[in-house]
Amino acid sequence: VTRRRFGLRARGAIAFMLLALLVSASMAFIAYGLARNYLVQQRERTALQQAYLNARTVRASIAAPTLDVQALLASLPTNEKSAPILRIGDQWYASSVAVGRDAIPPSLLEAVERGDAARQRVELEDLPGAAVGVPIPGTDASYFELFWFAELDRTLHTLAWSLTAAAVVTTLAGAGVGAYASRRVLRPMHEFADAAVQVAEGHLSTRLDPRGDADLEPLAVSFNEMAASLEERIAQEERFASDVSHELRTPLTSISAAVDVLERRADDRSRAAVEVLRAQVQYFQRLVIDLLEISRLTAGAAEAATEPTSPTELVESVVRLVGRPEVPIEVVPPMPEELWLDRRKVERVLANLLENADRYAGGATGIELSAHNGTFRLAVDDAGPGVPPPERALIFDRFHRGTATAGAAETDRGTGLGLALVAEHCRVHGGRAWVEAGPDGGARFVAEFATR
Amino acid sequence: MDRVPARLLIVEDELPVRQMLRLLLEDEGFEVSEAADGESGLTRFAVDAPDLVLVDLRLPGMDGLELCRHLRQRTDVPIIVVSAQVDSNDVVAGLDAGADDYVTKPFVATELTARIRAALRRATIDADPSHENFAFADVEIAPASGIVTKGGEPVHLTKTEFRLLTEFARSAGLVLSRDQLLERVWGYEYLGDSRLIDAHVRRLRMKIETDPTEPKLLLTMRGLGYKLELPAEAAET
Repeated sequence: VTRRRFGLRARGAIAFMLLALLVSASMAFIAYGLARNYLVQQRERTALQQAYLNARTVRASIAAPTLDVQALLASLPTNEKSAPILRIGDQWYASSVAVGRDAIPPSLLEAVERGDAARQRVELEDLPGAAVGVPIPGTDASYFELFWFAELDRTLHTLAWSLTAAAVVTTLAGAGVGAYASRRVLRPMHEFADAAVQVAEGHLSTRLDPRGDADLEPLAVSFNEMAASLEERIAQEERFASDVSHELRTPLTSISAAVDVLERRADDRSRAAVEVLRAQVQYFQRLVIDLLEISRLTAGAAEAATEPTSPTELVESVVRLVGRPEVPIEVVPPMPEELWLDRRKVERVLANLLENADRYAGGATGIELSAHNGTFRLAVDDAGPGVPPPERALIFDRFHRGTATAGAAETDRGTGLGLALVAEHCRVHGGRAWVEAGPDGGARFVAEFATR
Repeated sequence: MDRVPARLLIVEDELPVRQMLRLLLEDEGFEVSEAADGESGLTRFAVDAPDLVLVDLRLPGMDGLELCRHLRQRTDVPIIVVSAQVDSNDVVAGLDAGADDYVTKPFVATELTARIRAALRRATIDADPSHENFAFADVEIAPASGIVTKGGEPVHLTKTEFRLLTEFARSAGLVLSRDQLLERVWGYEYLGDSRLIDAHVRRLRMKIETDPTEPKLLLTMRGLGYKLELPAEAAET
């Protein structure tokens, strides 16, 4: 069952519309019925009076010895909306050929035969009408008159149309009111949604004003409690990470300093052992630093601290910093003088990519900078064997050991976190990182950063 | 400096780190004294008169930041923060408290000693008799005597701050990138960090700008670096 075909607002509007339709349609039906009844009754009374008058005229004339029935019928004050019919004995007389005895309902005929005057509503040529029958006392004759209310039908038509139009307008107005009311009602929902987005984006101090609406207060309060506990949890995690960081760094510092001291004083036999110790301590150091960095990035509180930065100057300084000033830098025009970038994140990303190229692909062969559509892109090409397509997505996973790592020197083991850090820095900076085939057969690692 | 061993004071609460730093730095030819907390750090400073102080930020009692501020009130010897705290806020706080440089734990021995030597060099080579005095706005710099005045009043600068200011004065009106400043003032090519420059410029502004929140002399050139702007009338004379 798909219950989400319409949104809340549409459903609110539809409900209001249906209600308005129901109310206005039934009001219209009732009004039409009452009006029709009243008008028909009015016409019937008039018809009855006219029929009685005519019956009296007929009664006066019928006693006359020289009776011209047709002339008598023609002389009756009727109009085009009524037709007199006269029965004398077995003879039926009518002034119009269109209506005759057949038009008189049998039940009326029966009542008149019993000697009662009667009237009945009839449909004549699809028009509402009435048939009136009056027995003429003292004779074997009955006077009938058929009336059809053509002008009444037009009135009723007009009425029906106006009522229908009113119902349609009311229904549409109902839909409009429904849409407006739903929007009003849902406005706090939008505020909630905005606040949730804020929290998701890492603005953990976002809170809702619970005093807005008594009915929504519990929701706002629980939202705020959720945000507060989330903020507290993240703060705890940060404190924990900071404590872990301190607790790990301090012993590492003394171990590494001790290795430095040992190294200087080692004789030839122990030097080899100290070398192993040094390499392992260095590896462990890098691992701890990278792990702490990646846990800070993924904890959810990390944000890009962007400032107007000259991208070319930044890249040149990184290349100098890591001791690779010979790597050619190509700037794809148009390159703005400055972009909103987090210097440290871009520095870390480029340094890691250059280190990765050094370690697994014989060094970077070129760096390409480009900027378009609010992004800044750094591409680092290498002269290695490239990354096979099935491995391209996995290579940014933590501790991923690809085929290329087999070729890396044993002593210069990477932490397995360099590319994962690249991806995380890019993500926090509103971008992403990927690898594709390079122009010279090697791999091209691309890091993209959002600049607005 | 090579003849007389430079004296270093290590203020560090972790005994193993302190011991290893001592061994390491003594191997490098320095004379080392130690203190385990901020208060005894101040005492040792008064007794030993070191040429440079290494300060850990997380100390029992008086913490490293407070110690930096106390030391800055009485001396301009170089202070290097050695901290396991690597968050930007901690680094910037340390620099704002008056430190000349900082090193994060675990450090690389060669990097630490390079920074110590660079800081000692900045502190000792100060007299520059070859150069005439600078004056701009109401600030006067006398490189020969190392005296800076603002509106006739002497301004107290650390050696690093002084060198940074004279560097700006030498290239007045020109934009200096952070890399250039790191190289010329700190003597670093690879070790630099832009936060070092930013914090020192902030400190300089506190001392020589009339309104440090709206600098008129030391201008930030967004994305490029910094520039010492000469007031128009001074540039004409």
